[in-house]
Amino acid sequence: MKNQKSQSNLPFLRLNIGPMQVAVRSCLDQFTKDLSELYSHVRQPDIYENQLDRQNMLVLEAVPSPSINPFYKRYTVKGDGEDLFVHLKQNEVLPYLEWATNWRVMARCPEFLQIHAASLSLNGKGLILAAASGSGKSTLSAALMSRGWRYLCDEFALIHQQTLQLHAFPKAICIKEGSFSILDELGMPRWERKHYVKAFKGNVAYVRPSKLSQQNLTATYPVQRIVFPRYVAHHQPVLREMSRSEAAIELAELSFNRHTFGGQQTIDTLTEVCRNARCYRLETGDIHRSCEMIESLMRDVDIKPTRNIQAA
Amino acid sequence: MFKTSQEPSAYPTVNAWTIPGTAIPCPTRRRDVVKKTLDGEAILYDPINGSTFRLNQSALNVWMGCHPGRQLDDLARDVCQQYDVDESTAHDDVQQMIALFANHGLLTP
Repeated sequence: MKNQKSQSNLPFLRLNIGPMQVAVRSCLDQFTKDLSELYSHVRQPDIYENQLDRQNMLVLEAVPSPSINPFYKRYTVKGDGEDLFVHLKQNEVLPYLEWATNWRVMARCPEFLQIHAASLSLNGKGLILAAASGSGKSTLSAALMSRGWRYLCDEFALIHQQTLQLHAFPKAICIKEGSFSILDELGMPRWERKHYVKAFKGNVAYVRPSKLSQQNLTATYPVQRIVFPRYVAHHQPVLREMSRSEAAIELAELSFNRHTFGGQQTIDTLTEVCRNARCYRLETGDIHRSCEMIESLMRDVDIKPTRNIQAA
Repeated sequence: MFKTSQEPSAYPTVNAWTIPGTAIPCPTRRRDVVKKTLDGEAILYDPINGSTFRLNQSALNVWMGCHPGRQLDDLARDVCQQYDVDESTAHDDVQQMIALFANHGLLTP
């Protein structure tokens, strides 16, 4: 990428993502253009540094890392003035800026318990898909969104500590190359630039939130179903109900901000969330049938606790 | 009972009691350990080291029985009545559970 400009005179892109205002600036023309395009649906008028409301905005920047070698260009992503990721290549800046957004949301929103999970809603009912990286949460989120679900977030479930409801933070869904064929099957347009790479995920593409997911971003949703998905290649989907106490403990282990939120507060919050929800494990290698099974859960189908549900 | 945290116990190991024919006082559960019940099971949270534990119904009953004024025999008798097992099995089960609680630092030293 060319055309690195002097940073301080550049305006900040302003994005309204869920409850957060995010201001982003970069010296890289191509990166700024890509970000504008990817988040055009939430873009607000640009602002300059003297107009920033740092109290109420996440401020992110991608700046050149210091180097004496002009041919060795590396970049640093800063969040609210703090260096978060350093010595990045150009094609890593966008994915790491997204991670920086996640970290700053964690730091700036202590009223939310933040779980490493995707969250969606259907007809006003909230769903949490909780699992570690690589389990297929993002792909499953994209698939459900293509079927009319409201997508809330694919990186974390934001649960308000008082209302216990899910809040939306609809960033673009990041999908790795191995799942591109699934997006193609679903007929979902993906936004990709061959040169973006995200750490261990490799080449990535993005799926923009659907029109439904972009509307009414302040709405909140009670958690009604919690699913722990696990991708097993070529495996027919099997859904098994699990005990709520087991689910609460696993969610606690997946909480990003458990220590700052408070250990006991985390357990109290998750106990109440699970008390009002039904919890399941899903092992699957078939995304379409998985979506059907998850949808049947949300339609108040009575599933007996001891039964394993297997796709026909 | 399932331990779900990797933190080592801050308390010394307590061996199971093996003296027959003697009324052995029951150890006391720590008052600061938080208990949350869900569908007949419980989550215990240790605020000192952040560990969490899941107790099924029988373990929860033994845990709730661990208070001053009770004997181990009392706990074993309760298990016999609730689960239709013989006395010897009940005693062994109770001793194992007490030992687990003690190993994880959930009882008053």
